[in-house]
Amino acid sequence: MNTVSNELILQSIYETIYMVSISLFIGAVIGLPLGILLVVTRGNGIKPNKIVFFVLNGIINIFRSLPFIILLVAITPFTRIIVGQTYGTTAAIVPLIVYIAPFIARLVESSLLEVGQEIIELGKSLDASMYQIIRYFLLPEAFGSLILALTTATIGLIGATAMAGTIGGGGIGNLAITYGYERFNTSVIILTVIILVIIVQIIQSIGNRMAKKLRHE
Amino acid sequence: MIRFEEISKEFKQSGKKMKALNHVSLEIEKGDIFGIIGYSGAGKSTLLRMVNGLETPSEGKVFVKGKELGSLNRQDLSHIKKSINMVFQHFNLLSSKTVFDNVALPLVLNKVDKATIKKRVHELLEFVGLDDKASSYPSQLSGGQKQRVGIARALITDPEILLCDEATSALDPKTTVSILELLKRINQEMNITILIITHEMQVIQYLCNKVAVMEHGQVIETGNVTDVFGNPQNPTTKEFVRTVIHDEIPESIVKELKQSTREKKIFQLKFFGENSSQSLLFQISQKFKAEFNVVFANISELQAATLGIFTIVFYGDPSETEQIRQFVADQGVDIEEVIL
Repeated sequence: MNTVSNELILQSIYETIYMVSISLFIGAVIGLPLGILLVVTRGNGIKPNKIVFFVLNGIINIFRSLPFIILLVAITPFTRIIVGQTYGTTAAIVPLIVYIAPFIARLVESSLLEVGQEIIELGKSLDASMYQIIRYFLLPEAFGSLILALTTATIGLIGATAMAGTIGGGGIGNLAITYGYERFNTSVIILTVIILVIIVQIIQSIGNRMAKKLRHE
Repeated sequence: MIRFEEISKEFKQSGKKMKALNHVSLEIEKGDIFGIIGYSGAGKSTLLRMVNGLETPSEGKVFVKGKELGSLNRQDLSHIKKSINMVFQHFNLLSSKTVFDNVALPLVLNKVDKATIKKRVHELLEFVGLDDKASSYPSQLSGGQKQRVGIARALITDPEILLCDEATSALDPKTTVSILELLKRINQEMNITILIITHEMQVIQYLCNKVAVMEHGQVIETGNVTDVFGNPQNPTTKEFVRTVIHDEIPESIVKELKQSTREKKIFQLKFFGENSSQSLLFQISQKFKAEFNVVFANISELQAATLGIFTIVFYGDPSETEQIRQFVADQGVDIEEVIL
């Protein structure tokens, strides 16, 4: 009844980890500064700037409203420019980044907004520069919450990779669709779902544990 | 040290203009523990924040150490701000950092070297009595301990001015006293000028040498604490003074006095220093025939002085009681008739 080989499963797990880790890393590198910028430039931020906030907020909303499967296909020309190919695991990473970076920016924004105004006021009373307020006040206070945000982003990415199969990205989600769903093979679906559940559980508990350790509450 | 000159501040709140401060002028001298008291919304917090530039006046000038803040360039302003630190009502500690790191923070921002930081932090933690808590996190501390950390952090850059924003309002009465004692020590031992805002008259009574009372964005009364407590002029000031110094005759005695048909006058006498009160009463009894009875007395400690408030009933004909009133007033004691 099992029509998929162990090698294929391992290969899929590897592909998922590959796509998720690289797109998470680059997505965070892009999303974190954008999230900070959103918090800094908003009306009651450290350096309010209506234009920057309006434009950035708008762009993020546009990307956040596109369904991933549409995004995947829509940005094919862009993908070709970046990685030189439009099909395969590496090609899937480009749309995954475009999908996750604005999401991470939003998550970072809400994490940083959790830090009370009184902490900012403290920074200002100590004559800290904008960079110092971000570096020594905002980020350390939001660190636990940022870890949870990245956990959420990681799990969101795992879900998105299932659709990356459309452009030959592979991964466990794709395994479930092509070998399970399309061939009416329930056991493959169940197997892949179990693997996904385990991965998500592990990531969430690591995230929770790290956040708890960092929060000191 | 700090001078407010005709300060006004307007806020726009949902389209409407709000005047938070209205032509406020005050002077705080070096070494003062200056208290600003008022109900919430009186504008005292806005005024305090003008000293370190967290707020800027719409009109008027703020002088710190002789320099007008509005006229300074960024560098000079930054230089002045380094000599001012703030203690907050809700402590404003970073929950993600240890006590040590919280106290060290101002020095880290000033890029002081690690060895100096370590030495200074331990000195300050010892001063506030928390050296054993250096590696604790704020969540493991009590309210009073948190405020001690906040104070140590404010002292670590050797400021000349300490701004206290309701520093004891989140604390229980016993802890409040211990924090006030600490602030007093800071003023005396480190010669730091303290500007504290509060809505608790006990804070003024215990800690301050000068006070300003604020209401609706204006200073309604200001002066030495002993003067303001001894002879409050404004109704709001009287209300505040009454929260710590009781001068009202108890209800049961009022009832009794109202029932008695004997001719009498009731006077309230206020004087500083207990001994003088005793000799005055002795002199009255020697000089006049009138029978008198102390129905209420209260002695409060204010700084070094004691303020005595005596409510005395004099029985006798009006001409004699009038003579007594005159005699007491001639001794320089504040006397006022009480009408039941």
